[in-house]
Amino acid sequence: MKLLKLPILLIMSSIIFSGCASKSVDLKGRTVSNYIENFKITNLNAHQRLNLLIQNIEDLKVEMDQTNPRYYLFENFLERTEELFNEISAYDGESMTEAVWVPNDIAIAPKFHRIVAAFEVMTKAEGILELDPLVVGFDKNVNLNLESMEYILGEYKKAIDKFRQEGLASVTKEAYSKIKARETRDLIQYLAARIEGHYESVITNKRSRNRVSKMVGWALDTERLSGKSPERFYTTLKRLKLSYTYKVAMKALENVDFPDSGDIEGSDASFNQVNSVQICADILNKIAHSYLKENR
Amino acid sequence: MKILISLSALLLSFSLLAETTVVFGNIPGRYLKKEDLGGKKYRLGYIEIKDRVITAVEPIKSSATYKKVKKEFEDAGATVVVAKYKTPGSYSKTTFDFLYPGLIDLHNHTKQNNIDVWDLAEGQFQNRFEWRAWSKYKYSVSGNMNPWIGFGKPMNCAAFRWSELQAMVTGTTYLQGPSGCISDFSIMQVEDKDSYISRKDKVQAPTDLVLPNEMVFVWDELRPGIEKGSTYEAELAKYVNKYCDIPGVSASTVNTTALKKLSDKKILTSKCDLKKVHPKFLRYTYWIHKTIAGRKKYLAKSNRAAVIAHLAEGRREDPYNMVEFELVKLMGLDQKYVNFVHGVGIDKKHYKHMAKKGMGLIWSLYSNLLLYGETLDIAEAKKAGITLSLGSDWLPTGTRGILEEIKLAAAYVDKDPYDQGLKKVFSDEELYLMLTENPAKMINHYDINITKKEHGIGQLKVGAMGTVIALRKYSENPYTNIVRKAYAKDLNAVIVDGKFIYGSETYAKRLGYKSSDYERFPAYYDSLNELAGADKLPTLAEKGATKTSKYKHLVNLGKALAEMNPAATDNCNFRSKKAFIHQNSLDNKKNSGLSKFYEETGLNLDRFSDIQKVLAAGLLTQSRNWNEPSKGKKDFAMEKFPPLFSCHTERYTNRLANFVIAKEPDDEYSINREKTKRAKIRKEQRLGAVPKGLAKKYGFDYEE
Repeated sequence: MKLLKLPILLIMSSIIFSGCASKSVDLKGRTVSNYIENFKITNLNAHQRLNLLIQNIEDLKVEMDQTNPRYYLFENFLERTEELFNEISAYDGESMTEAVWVPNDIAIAPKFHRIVAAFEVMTKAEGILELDPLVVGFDKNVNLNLESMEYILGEYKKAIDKFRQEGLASVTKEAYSKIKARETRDLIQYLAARIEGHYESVITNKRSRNRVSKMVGWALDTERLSGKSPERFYTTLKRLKLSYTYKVAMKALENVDFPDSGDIEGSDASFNQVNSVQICADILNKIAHSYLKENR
Repeated sequence: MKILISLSALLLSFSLLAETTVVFGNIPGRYLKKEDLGGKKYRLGYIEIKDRVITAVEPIKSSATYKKVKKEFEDAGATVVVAKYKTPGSYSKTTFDFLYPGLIDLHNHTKQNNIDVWDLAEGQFQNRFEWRAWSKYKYSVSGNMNPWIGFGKPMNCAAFRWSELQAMVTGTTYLQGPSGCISDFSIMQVEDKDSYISRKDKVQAPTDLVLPNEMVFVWDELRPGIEKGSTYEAELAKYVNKYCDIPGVSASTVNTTALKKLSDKKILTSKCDLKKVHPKFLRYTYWIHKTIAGRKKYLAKSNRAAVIAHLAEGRREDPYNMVEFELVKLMGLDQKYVNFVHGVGIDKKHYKHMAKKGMGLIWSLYSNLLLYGETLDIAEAKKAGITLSLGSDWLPTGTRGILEEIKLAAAYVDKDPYDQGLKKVFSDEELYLMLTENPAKMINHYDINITKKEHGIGQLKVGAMGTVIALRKYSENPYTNIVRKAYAKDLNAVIVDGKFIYGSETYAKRLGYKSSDYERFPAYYDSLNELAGADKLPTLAEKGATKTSKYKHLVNLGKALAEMNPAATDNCNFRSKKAFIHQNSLDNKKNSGLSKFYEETGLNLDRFSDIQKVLAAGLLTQSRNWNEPSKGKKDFAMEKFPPLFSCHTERYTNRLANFVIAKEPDDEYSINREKTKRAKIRKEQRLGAVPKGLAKKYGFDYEE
């Protein structure tokens, strides 16, 4: 698949050229979504469009400043999408060759449904981060790619919503509630894993370290924080959040010192550590809080 | 009278001989009295070490004295190291090794020394942020080091221990670098308080002192006032009081009583006018200011040791590089015992100021030339009076140790690329001091004050720490010998705090060690390279892996490795094999987890062979480049594990030996310096955005 190797802007350009080969392209002052709309991305089949999304997220990863905690959310989202992409790619049904965003195919549509849910969970976390004054904005290129990603995901969402209205069994509200619980759980576990990987270098107090270790151990235990059903996830998440361990650990994670990295990555490594520990804990806490509130 | 004094000193020392080590060898002249040298640059003598400290450095003037003194020490039960390859009983000065203090390497990245030299480094980069951000660097380093380095503590320990061994076999006994679980294993860590007998605090070594993205705030907002004569503290307090409603903030409190409030995110976000403040104010004040205040507090302490940090690493004229020292000055960190690694971009106009303040520079020549094609103005720095030392950096863009680095430094001096008369500025003795005395002074561990229990390093003097190395003698000049002639093959003894830990097998046998007491070096398990890309060992998907599952995987991996018995190969043809005496550090509390790992797997990380197995398996089978197609790239995956000894890798030794050659216009250094070639590579690799962005942040123009 050649498309995979091309940066998103080049792909957009190739779409443009396919329509008007002799015209020069002036990207200045215009957005990717304009191009998508103006130059008939609808000519691409479902598989190619999914490739576009993957490439888009990969470009974002390359261009994003890794000291920006928003990077981690995309990293996690990319992993989720790739996983689903692989599952979708393994499917040899004809429906992926149709020129649609989501094929009306019961074997495939739920997977797109999961991508949409993963995106919504990420967007929620993004919203939390955007409110944090310590988290600085992205540069122009990243914003351009973000816009195109949002556009693509918007199209997926529209397609799913349409199927839901039409009564397609696998994309019902109940199904959405189930996969959203699972995606939220996965994001919480991803954040917990980041904390687990870095807390030892930024929390010096032994007692606090033990509490944090216990808390992340709990969050990462798929039995104790279960994603089996929305109800079970709600109960187990509530139990975790109300626990003494959680409270003490979150307190310890609230204010951490900026560490001396000593490592080759220098200040970037230090930021990676504080972001992973402090900001990931903050997102985890707020995501958990918001989920429990919304599903009370 | 003199004889009486010597005899009484000898008798006194015999009272505690159980802990005494005595080393016989040729002692460089600077450690002996002029009258004992007889016009020569060295003299045969002995060094006595007791309770970690040198208690005698004495010349021996006749065959009879040599035999008598040696016998007396032997009879009294001392550990006697005769640094002489043949016939240790005979008195022939020419065949004794030279003795030197253990070498001090002030710049190393101890986690990544198991990655081979980076072929893509051709002197093309502008500054350190450029290559750190380059995707190919990420594949080359992060893609090879992850995720396996995070499988559990034993992995990190193996990497740190590997670095110690690499330093040890090239004569370094004090190695700077982030490290852990190395207590009682082999050599000493510069940052570790326990490496010295001293009341001083630990040496601080953050990688960076200047954080480019955050310190824009200092540059934009505090600089104008500081340049008019104000101070960093006064300007910060003024700024906070202008935009925030936080009581009690003043020049005298920003680093003390008000620090807690300034480090509280909730207070800052609720009490400051976030719409009006500089975009980096919050991040800077909340995260960074605390570290600056902490650094200043440390430097103001009477028992402070020193600070080591990277600064201005890159090209001399890079606009951002030139800003970094200005920032140090603005923040008031231009203080005694603050030492900078690289410093290439520090403007020469600051050299005298640095010297006056007592600051030092750590020269990592090979790394500079490989990455940037140029290094600091070493002649001007020396002339200005800055204390200079060496750092080997890390294997991807550095040498295996400062014994190798000094050879390149000598070649650079000979080449004298800017026609500055470098040979007159740097004698071999002065280059030698960059390995010993100078770094000791820079980290504030040079002075000896026995009553105050301060025992310096980097010298062979009574009262200094008893760390000594012995190198084969090739030259009548002991400094030329180490600077230009001797290599790892010539290292016959490494004695740390009086303990013989490594050296010629012949010497080890003389000391009574049996072959079961040590590992034979050089040893390279090249059959481990067959693991590369093969499915012989289990792997672990990064996604979803937890601390517990990673450790479990590591144990399984360890068990499989313990079953393997690769044969050790040796193509080095050393005159004598080397012996690394078995250490027993697994039960040391500071090395917690290693003993458990040994019980679980059978792998003993006190042993070089097992360390090599663990690291080779990590690199060759567990890396992201091998196993995670979405995150890594197979093209960058390592297929060979870099050996501990340079002599096992012709590619590395040839490149290093031919990198800088005097009177050779086409050595690699000269080719890399060529402007058109450099510009072409930069264009092809689409470099430039990072240095341009950094320059722009600080208001400078940047042109390729």
